[in-house]
Amino acid sequence: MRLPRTWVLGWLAIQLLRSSPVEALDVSGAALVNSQVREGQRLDSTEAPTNAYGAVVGTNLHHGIGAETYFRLARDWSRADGATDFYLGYARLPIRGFELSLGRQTLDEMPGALYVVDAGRLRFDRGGPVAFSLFGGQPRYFEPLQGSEIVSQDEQIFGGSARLRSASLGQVVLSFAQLQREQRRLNQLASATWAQALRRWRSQPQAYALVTYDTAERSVQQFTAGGGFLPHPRLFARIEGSYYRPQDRSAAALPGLDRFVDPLFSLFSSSSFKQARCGIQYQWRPGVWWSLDYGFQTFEDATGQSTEGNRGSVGVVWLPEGDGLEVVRSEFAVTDSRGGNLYALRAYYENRVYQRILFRTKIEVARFEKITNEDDIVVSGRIGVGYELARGLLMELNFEGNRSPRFDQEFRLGLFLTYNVHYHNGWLPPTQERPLLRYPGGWAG
Amino acid sequence: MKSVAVWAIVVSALGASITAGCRRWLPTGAYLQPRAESVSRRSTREARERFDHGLHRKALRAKGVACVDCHSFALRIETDEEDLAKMLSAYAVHPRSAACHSCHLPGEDKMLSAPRRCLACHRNLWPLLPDDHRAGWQAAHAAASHGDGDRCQDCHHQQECLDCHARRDTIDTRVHERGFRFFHSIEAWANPVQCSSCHRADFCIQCHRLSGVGGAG
Repeated sequence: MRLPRTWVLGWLAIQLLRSSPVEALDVSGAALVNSQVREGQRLDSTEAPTNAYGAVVGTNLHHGIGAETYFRLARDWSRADGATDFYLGYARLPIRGFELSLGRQTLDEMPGALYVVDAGRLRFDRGGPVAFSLFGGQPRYFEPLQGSEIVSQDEQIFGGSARLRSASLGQVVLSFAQLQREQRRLNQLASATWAQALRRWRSQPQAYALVTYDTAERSVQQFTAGGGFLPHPRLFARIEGSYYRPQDRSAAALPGLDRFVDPLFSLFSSSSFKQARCGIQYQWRPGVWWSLDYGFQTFEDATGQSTEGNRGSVGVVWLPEGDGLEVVRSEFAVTDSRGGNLYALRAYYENRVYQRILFRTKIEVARFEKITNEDDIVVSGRIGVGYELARGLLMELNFEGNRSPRFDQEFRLGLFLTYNVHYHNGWLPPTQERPLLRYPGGWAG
Repeated sequence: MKSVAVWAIVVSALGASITAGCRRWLPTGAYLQPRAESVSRRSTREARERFDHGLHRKALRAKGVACVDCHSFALRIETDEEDLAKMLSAYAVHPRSAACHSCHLPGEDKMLSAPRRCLACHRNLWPLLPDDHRAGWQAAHAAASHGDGDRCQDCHHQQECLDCHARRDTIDTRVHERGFRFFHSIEAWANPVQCSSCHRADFCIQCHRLSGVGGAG
């Protein structure tokens, strides 16, 4: 019964929009089919998971109404039960300076496993110094549940926020939100966020801070402060410090799991989490940037034991000729934690110089030494060649090879099909002309 | 082994020379990005050509902005070369980017009602890429989005956030490479809070508890 009703509602919506003149219609659409063939988990089996992503955005449809959708459809053509469909859609309704957004998300995994989430927001923001919003509904999640609901989806979140902006103070956002699961309160948080960018100063400093206070438990839950500046025109530096102290509500959050016995869940009972991060980025010459990042973390697990971790990386981005048609990225990252040590080298190359052709390749070589005395080298590599069949329509073939402790060699063949389309009449800010779904590229981040 | 090395060098040199030629001579396709020449000027010129006096009349009048505040009509150019005179005249009469940014640039806030979005005027974003986006940005973007999320939406659709954070098990890996599952515990012990950017506890429990995969470590 759901399908005919959906079609009827869709037909009615189209007729409503067609019935009145539209001054400046702006519609963008994007679709991406992403398929692969790989060796299955079982002996002599083959899997063919296919993901379809899509997005449609319409603005100024009628009386300034906007509508947006995003969906992810996953199918494994070699299995009958491998479907996971995710839909997200919302409408924006302008009402006398306010904007009302109403949204719905569904996660449809298999017969009998349909999760529906609704939420709404009322916002006043005309680009001036003051803006505020009220919101309520159910929080959205993107994770497939695979049919087994471990953490209840019966959650509600509601609250509001006010934003103040001025040239001298920067931007301040005050907000309040309560999250509850199965009518039991998980969080009741009051937050203040501040951000300021002084672009006329020589070093162009920018700074931000976030304080979150749990009004129910009367304790600070999170404090983060950081910023960045240019000590030299070619050097950008950033620094950040965080303190995070989630309230342990294991009985309400994960009933049925003994987090003090299972070592996995003791990890997620972390408390008094402290983090210090810093990084620099240096433009060595035109088109070449070096980056250096370091982060130190310490937290207490469920048993009260203190755990420390270090993460550091050095990377380079090189744009030959400086035009972005070729991109070379490389990174060496080191992680040291209670779980072990990790050394990873990543490299990426992308070429768009040739007319209508995209070529890209990447490789990651990682050596790990785990606390469980496991150590090995993992290699993942990929080559992709794409061709633009028509404006906005790109097809790409991928070949992937992996080496891991489980497989000495594992190969995958992938196919992409990306299509971005945009239509508008009349003058509009060209915001919507950006592709809704990113073109392939930027593998190495 | 020696012949492989020779072939690799020959192929690399051939590819590099073809790439260099194509970069110069092939026209820009619909998919390819704009060429390097005068990229920064193109961005400013495009934005200037989109300026609509009619849309700004009311706001400029309210602020008391006169024509000569942006356009230098009084400049006198003394040269016998007509082409040079035309160029200098156009250069002088057309306002520079500072004239627009004095109202529109984020943080300056001389006119708070002026749209802050770069894309309100600019189409070519490459020269507008913020300094902190050049390298190592993926690791740092979370903190920036928490600090001032509105700044992200100056250029990005919200769908772009979803496009990475909601992707699952595709061949186009964005965040973790294929081998990540074999050493993810090392990363999780270093910073367990980071996992929750995209995953709920369900995701861990699926493998570790229900499928009998080993615990932490």
